[in-house]
Amino acid sequence: MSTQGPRIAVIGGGAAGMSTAVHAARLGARVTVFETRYPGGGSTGLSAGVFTTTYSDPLDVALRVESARALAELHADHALPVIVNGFLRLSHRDEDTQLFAAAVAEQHRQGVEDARLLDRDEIARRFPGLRVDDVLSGLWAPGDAYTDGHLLCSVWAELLTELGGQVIRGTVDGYRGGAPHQLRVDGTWHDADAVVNAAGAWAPRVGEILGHHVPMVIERHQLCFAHLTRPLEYLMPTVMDYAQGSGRLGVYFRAEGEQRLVAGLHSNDIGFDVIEDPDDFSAACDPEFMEQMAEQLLDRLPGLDDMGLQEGYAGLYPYSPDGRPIVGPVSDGATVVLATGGGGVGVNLSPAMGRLAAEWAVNGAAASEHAESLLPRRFADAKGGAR
Amino acid sequence: MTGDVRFDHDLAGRPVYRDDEGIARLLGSRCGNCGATAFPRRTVCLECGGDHAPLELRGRGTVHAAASVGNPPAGFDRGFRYACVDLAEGPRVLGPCLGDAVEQGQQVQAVVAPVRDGELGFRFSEVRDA
Repeated sequence: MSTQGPRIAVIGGGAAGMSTAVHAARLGARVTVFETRYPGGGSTGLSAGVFTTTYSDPLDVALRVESARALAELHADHALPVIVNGFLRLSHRDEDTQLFAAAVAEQHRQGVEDARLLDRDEIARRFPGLRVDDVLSGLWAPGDAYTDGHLLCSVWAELLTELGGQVIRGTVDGYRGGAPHQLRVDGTWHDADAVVNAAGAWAPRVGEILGHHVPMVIERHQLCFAHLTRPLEYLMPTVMDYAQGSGRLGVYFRAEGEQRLVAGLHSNDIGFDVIEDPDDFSAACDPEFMEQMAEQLLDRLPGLDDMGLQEGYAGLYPYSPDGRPIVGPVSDGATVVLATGGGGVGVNLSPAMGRLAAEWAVNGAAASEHAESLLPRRFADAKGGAR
Repeated sequence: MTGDVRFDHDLAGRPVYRDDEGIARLLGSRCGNCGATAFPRRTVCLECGGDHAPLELRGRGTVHAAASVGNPPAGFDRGFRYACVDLAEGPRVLGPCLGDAVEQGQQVQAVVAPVRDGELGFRFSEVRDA
């Protein structure tokens, strides 16, 4: 590590923060991560850890292609466990099938060559047990994968340490602006040339301390485990029975070992189970959720109807108001940078988010055609937007 | 038929594997005076006469005894293992199992699953994780 590089303080040791820290250290910065618990100890460690490229918008695909490459590298070079189980979206409407076709075209354009549309018969043949009589088509990306949020952050923590950076356990509770910035962490002051707010659901609170507004909606989402009575003869892909923009929650599930599934309800639309205080929410599953999951899973997987559901836990989705992450300086030229707002896909996006945030923090500019579209200033005119 | 006693209802006629809203739930109770636990729910403690408050049971426990039901009652489309389980919170609970491998002494977890006539209730599943 350089002894001359800028001092970067990253607040939050989840996927976004740890990724930012490693990228900043690679750019020559002296990096310290401040984390209340431990790396991955917040929402990241509660995530289903799914990585997919199955989107149609060029920006959505670009961020995920970059992230998928980073995940493959972490697996190859640093032994991060990554399970390639594939990702399958189900279509029940012609407009979803059209959207899937557009997604396949965009994925191909960006190098995800094995993505394709499956018809109903092929879905039934590949995944016995899945009910397809109401399915028109599927968007299938066989190279998509999942990992574990904790392990991802642990690998990044090791890399950060090798690069001369450090993770300090503590909570930021005070701030003095200026050059350098001064952060008080559990009573001790630390200097930094740039500060990254990567605190996920806690980012608005950190923003209050630092003097910037973080527009965010925090949702509670639950997941559970399905016990199967016998091993499946195939690796269950991540099946997403949610239609983009449908305004409803969709069921998803994926393999978790040979005889278990992880399942939950997902939406990229905002407004379900909104919570005010990230330190005050029920981390246990609601009985109503278990009932709903049992109904939906038995309905979608009638071939596995001797399954039983065990409750999992609830975690937080830190959404920005438009559902896209917020990455970049809080105002033009500022050395306080946001890297948060990943919603329900923050772990998936964290490699790309971290690179962009690190470039903003270290270089004051990000080398990506998409960097502009993720800046906090897009909310500046909105009520309660960034200032 | 009169006097039909169903194993899945308590003496007040309430289903024991559901809460008052009809949601599948292992709801027991605990004595505010002596701490004794019960399943199904009680209002008065059998040990000390104190008042019981509802207690959500986590469903983790050890199999005290298990048997196979080869000739299932109406509402079950196939035979099943039936287990008597000592729950971690204290109560001893009877219930059908998921799969046919549950044996005495095993750690099990009650999981939400179709039980009778496809209605959701609980079955005991072997605990395979650490």
